[in-house]
Amino acid sequence: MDGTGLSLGRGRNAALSNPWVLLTVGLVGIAAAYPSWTDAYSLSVIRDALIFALLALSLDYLWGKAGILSFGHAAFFGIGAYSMAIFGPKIDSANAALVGLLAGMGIAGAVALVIGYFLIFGGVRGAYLTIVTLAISLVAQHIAIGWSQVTGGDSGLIGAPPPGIEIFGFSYVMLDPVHQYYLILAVTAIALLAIWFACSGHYGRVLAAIQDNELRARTLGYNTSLHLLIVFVVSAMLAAVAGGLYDITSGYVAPDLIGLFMSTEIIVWVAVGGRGTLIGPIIGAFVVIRLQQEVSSVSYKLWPMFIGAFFVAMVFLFPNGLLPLLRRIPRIVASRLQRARKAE
Amino acid sequence: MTGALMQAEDLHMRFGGVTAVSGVSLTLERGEIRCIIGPNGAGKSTLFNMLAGTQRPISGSIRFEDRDLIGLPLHKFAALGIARKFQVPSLFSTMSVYDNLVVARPAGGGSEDEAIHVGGMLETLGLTGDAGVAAAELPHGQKQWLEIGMALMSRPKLLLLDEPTAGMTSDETHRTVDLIAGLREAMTIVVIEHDMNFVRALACPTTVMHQGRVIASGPFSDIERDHTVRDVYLGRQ
Repeated sequence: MDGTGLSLGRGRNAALSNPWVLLTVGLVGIAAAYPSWTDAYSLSVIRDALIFALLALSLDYLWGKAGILSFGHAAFFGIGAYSMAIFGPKIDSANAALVGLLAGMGIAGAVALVIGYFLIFGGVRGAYLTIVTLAISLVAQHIAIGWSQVTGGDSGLIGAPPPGIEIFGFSYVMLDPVHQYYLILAVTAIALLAIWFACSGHYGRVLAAIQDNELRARTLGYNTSLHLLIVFVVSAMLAAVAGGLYDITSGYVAPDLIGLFMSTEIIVWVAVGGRGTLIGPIIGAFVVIRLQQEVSSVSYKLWPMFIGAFFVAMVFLFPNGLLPLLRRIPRIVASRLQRARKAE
Repeated sequence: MTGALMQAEDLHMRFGGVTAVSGVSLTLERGEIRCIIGPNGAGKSTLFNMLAGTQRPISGSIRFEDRDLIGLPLHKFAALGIARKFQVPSLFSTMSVYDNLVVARPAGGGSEDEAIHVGGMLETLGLTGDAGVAAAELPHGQKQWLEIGMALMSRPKLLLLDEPTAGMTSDETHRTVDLIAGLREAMTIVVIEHDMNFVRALACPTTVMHQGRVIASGPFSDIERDHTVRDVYLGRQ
């Protein structure tokens, strides 16, 4: 269809000249250059922010692209982190972290598959589905606290293997924090690129259609429940990857990471950045984490209260998040300039 | 093309204590256009929902090309060749007109094939200039057209149209008659309509429903003269 510029191939090619794609490439470039001018502590802060950005991205795929708001995403993050802490140290090989990561992804995927199957194929949607996901976080946190022989209970678990690989006699263990930073940056960038690439084509249109009018999509022949279940499972596995990476870098996992407060924070990152924009939630995670540091430096008790008030303010002032707001700025400036010229 | 495409027998549907459809049977021949008329609450849309798979009858059978449709998941109806237009326009409102048609197109074929197929449909619908417009922003009549276009994208064997001209101008209604009449032979079409001029213009076999039952069936010219139909629907003259 000439003139629309909306066809699949053209959509992806056009994206290469899109200012937001260029912004994303620019941000990745800055993140890649960051270790060359910063100290170890600042690098660890940005590294953790990148992990949480990956977690925000996983929720944006589920909430922004498929329309499922989940309060249970911290549970999948926690499954990834605990799997790394439980399975990783048991493996006496450079592949230990890889095994821990795959175990986390497998367990999170299986849990999401079972829960998601009964919920999604059972026809649970919208607010009802969100309420059930609240229970996922609560149950997961109770298991993390109560099953103390395995999870360490309230104290959590200490220790995680460094990332590495051992194959055909070749062995490499990544001990350097800078290398670990680059690994996390690469995983986040690849996840962003993969989800963006998938959602910029026909598949993205189908997900948008399901989110817009599921009954219509079903009458057109789409197995919408299967589509939603796949997104739910993939999103949970991606959250588990973030959890595994968190344990690798911090060397510590505790029930706080798996609870309702953490789940709410992930939602805030996505909502602040701009739901469905993919890069927005990544920016949102960085912005909110930076705010958290500033507020907690005054008093760490202030943070839960602050984030609640901040979220309410964001919903009222910028309901679509920061990125859509940034998108509007050039148009607002252009229209103001035009009006000023007319006035002259 | 001849022979029955769909056979529905003794369909019953109840919502709580209210009987919506009671003992309705319907045979649709290949290539025929059939109108279903009746006053509000007659059970027309419920019958459509059962034929299109969005509601499961409490009893009765529906066969499509000798395949039993009862219990078949809704998303499989499209693959069999059954497409529908809802009573209230059911579009992907946040998506562009172009994207609505792309999503309605069955998977397969390259982007060039997609552009030709979608472009052709936009031209048929007279929506070429609105391809990039969000579906929600279209006037009501054009929304109806877009939804008909979406149903046609899969080149169905059976097209179910629930009040396709509701909210349309007289000119748009004439164009809809031309479009549907032009599809005669290519597919079987069932239309629910309240606009008697539209039904008269189509000059097709007509089934009349009242209180969940079929009370008359035959050529529209006969239906117009049927005293029972006049009593319950057209108004005694």
